[in-house]
Amino acid sequence: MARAAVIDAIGHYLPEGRETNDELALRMDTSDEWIRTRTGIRARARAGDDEPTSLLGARAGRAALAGATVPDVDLVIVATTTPDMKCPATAPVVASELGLAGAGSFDMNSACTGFLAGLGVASGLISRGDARAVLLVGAEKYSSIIYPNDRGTAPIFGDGAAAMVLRAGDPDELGAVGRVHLGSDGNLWSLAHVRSGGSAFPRAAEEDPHDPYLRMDGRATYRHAVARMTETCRAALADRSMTVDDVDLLVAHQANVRILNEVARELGLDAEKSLVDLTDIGNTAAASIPMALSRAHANGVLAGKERMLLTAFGAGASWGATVLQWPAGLSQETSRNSGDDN
Amino acid sequence: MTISSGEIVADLHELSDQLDLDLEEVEVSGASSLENDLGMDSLNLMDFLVFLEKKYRVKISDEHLNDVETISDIVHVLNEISPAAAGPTGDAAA
Repeated sequence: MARAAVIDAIGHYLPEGRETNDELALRMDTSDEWIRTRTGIRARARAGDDEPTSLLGARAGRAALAGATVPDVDLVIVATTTPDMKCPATAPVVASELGLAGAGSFDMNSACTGFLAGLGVASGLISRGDARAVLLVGAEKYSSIIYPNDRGTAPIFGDGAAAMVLRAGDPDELGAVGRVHLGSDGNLWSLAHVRSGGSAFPRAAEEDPHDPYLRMDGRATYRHAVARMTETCRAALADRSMTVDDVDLLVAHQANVRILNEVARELGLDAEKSLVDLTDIGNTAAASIPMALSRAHANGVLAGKERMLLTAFGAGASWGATVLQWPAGLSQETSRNSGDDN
Repeated sequence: MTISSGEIVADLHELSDQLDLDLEEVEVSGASSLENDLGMDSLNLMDFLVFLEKKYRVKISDEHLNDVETISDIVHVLNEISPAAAGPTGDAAA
């Protein structure tokens, strides 16, 4: 029988710190109303100086593993844009922190599409038998790449991590991961980028002080995000001979509420069917999709069997979508010790 | 054929509900500032430009997006890139 990756458990970790819109307005030219109407965000999660991405990821991983039915995992994938260091990868640190030293581990950087890219890779490795169970972590500390007074990015991004345990199972069972549609267009690299510190532009003494930090062209990103997520969602639905009427829940990368609403509108989906979970935590990039799923699961929003359309758009530009049916009977214990205040 | 300010103003009125704009008390002209006079923000401006791209079958480049401040700016960009606006001589009739 063909094997498939199946969702076994999920968990998340949010740091306790929050930066509110009013706090941002004290140090930059913005206001609570300006931020809320454009992004739907009231506060964003902020990790402390002693909480690097690996720590956020390990805490989310621990929450997910606590609910797992499999005895252990043999591969750890960390999807992140904000690794602890440029080298080595963050995944081995997370694995060791979780007592999984010896497991295979690597990072994936597809920015905000990272979790979906990781889902495709984890699914492929499990289907081939290269891995029996995978811990897939989306972990981000975007506050580490935000230029302090950049009002185009500082209000949007939050820190946090979420993790999913995937096990081998049957393609027809609930929670099975099917084809993950992925796409990219490197001509759009400048939409969202950190210019310096890589091999193309190593840091120089005379650099623009913004160069080591994130720059984002909000207008163009918004337009491409809506167009690409809509397009790839349609492809993922067509691939499964589904229409938008078959979708119970749209779980899009939590970029901002306006993008979520516009993608739903373009798809012809009721806005109530779009999961929105960024108001008090911000956009957690590669962590945002599993974060929204984990928090919805922990809050009892997900009963199981919901047909979900997952989609993301991120720097690269990169995008993706997949369809799955949420498993029934996942452990409800998965987000304990998560630092979640909701 | 040249796209006129009047057409873009009509398009804006057509889409005002979707864009959540209240234009009843506002006189919209080519000189109207999209943000300051019409109350648009960068995101519903993008929604409007995507609507215009589909209607006029053009593709507005990312570079042009940041040039748009007024209705006249939109008219200028559309006429610059629209195949329909460029006549046989390459010089559109007014």
